[in-house]
Amino acid sequence: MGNNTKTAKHFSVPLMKQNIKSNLVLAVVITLIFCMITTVITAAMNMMGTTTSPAVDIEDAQEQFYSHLFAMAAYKQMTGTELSVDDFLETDDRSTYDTVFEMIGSQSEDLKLSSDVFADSIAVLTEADGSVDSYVEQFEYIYALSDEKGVFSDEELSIDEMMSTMISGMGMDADQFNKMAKMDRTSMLNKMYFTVMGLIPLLIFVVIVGNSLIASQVDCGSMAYVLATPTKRSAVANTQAIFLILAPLIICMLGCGVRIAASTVLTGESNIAMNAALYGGMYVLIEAIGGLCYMGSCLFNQSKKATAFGGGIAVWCFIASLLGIFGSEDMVNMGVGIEELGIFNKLTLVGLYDIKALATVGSGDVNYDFVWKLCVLAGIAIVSYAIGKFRFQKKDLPL
Amino acid sequence: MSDIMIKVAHLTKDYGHEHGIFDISLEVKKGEVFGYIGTNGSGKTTTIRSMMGFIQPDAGSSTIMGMDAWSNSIAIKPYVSYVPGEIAFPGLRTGTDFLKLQAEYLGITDFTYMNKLIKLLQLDPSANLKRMSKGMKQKTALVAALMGDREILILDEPTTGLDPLMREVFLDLIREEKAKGKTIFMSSHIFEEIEGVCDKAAMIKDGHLIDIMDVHAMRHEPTKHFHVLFKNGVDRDAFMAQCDFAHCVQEKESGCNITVDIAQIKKMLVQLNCYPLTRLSEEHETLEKKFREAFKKGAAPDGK
Repeated sequence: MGNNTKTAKHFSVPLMKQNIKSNLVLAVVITLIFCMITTVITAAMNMMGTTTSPAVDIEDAQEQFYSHLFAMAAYKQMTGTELSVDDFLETDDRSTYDTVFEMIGSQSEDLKLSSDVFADSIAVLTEADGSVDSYVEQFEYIYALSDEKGVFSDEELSIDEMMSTMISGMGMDADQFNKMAKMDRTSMLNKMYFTVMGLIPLLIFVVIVGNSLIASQVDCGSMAYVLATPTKRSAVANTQAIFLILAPLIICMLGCGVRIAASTVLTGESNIAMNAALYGGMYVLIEAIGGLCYMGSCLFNQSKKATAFGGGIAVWCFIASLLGIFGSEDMVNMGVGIEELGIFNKLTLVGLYDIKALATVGSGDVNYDFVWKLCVLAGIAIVSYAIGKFRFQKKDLPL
Repeated sequence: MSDIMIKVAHLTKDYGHEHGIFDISLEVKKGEVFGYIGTNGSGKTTTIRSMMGFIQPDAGSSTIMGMDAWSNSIAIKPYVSYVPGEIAFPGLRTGTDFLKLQAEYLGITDFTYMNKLIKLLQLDPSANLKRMSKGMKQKTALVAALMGDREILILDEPTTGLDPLMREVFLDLIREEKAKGKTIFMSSHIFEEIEGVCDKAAMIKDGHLIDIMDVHAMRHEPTKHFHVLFKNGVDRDAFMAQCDFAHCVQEKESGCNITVDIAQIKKMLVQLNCYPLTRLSEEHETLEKKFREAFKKGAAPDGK
């Protein structure tokens, strides 16, 4: 009778089926939300990317345009002859301009002035902004400001210098402004996505599932139906741990796939190695927190205590990471951050998820800082799973 | 194998504040139906949890078929079916889902017995698990446990939530299982059902075992108890002096309690016939009465 019944010692297939059945809805919802956030962020980053990449051309054109305006202004100072952009565009005979550009250009090796380059830069700026009027006005303003200084050096003709001159003329801190202009908005959004927004659905998932796998079933008593059958406690602990290890892995892989697909569709290319590294790191982070949730679930017989433990850790990690963002270098440089808040990056597990280092994977110059950090996270996960399993096998169950 | 299926020896589990169970010892033989009676919170469930290997005893042990329930809990499971006292199902949709899954845990592929049970208990397993009434849930839990067709049934208050008719059906089922040679351990706080099906009954109060009674022997007692009320005390005294074959105890007024062998009843009646009586009644020995007596006795030494 009873002798021929199979005993589940390490893994229970029916329990896994039960887990899948009872958590399927939550898993699907979380996956959808996660993929949706991923798509939206990828699209947003893509939009930022398209506005910033041609900006390089505009910057070059601007610099060339200003150089030519400077040449014209210098010529005016020397000879009193008025030359203007409008005149340059209207006249058929550009010989005067050729002479002027050649003359001024010969004074410096770096300045390559010619009517053609000037015409090209005008074309680029007109295409970008409709007309070059604003650039002309800006130049005249800055030229007037620096008139007393005498002749411009060619360094001062760079965009940065002209901007600094203009901004200090307006009474602002030029350094601050430079940092702001140089801030990489894409990486900022990336950081937001990987350490805050993208984490939310996954954290919710591990907190809810971690609790429902063990503590809630012990608390309400339904675990009795599993343990009254020839299913060893270690089989229950293993099966539940495997579920909590595999489910977030699948969700992360789907998210990674969606991200790669979305950026391939939007930009035609995507860095698979980098994305895999970023999502892999995210998965390890989620497992560290999931492991702690599992441990709480095994330690406590009451569902509310287990939820308070796992949920508390997850919420803390999340809030600290959010505060940490305001203390991050990028934010401080933007002027909206507070350097002191950077300490929160050290107080949360999310701080061990080094997305800057991970993002270098797939590039020529890989920063291996992320390795030890991820090892710490993986270690936390392994230890918590082990403690949880050990405790679950030994403790009294109110079933 | 010895025919002692369940053995609890000096089992102690102290939860502090005098909660828990203390030095419980009992034995259940093969084919016996063993009742476990006690008030709410007296430690019935704790004892059962220990038998199932869910909790580790502070002292003493529970053994099922010679195997320790805690250290070797996995080895006893193929022989035991369990109905928990608190009914809570996993997060599945319908009763059918649950029973199918349970069959998988138990390794059952033949559903004939399960279907027979479902029919017998008039259970509709297609209902939503969460929306089930208490009785429905209890029936589902019973089917889930009994379908394993194991040698030992451990039932924690199996009749809660069942209506009186269904309770009868259930008790018949227990008798049927007993006839098959199953060993059954059931807890309850309802005396009638224990009286109706059990061979033996243990009583527990505040974690202490008060008494173990042979219910079977009680049902088939060799002596009967009568309460007789004589018209006057002189008659009674005369009867008591004359009656040497039965045990008589003087009661207040002109009453008398007689304990007599079944074989001597006729003789007693003939003698009583000589006196004018106001009342003659047979006193049934009920478990409840015994329980109350034992309860008082058990409580007395502690002064509670």
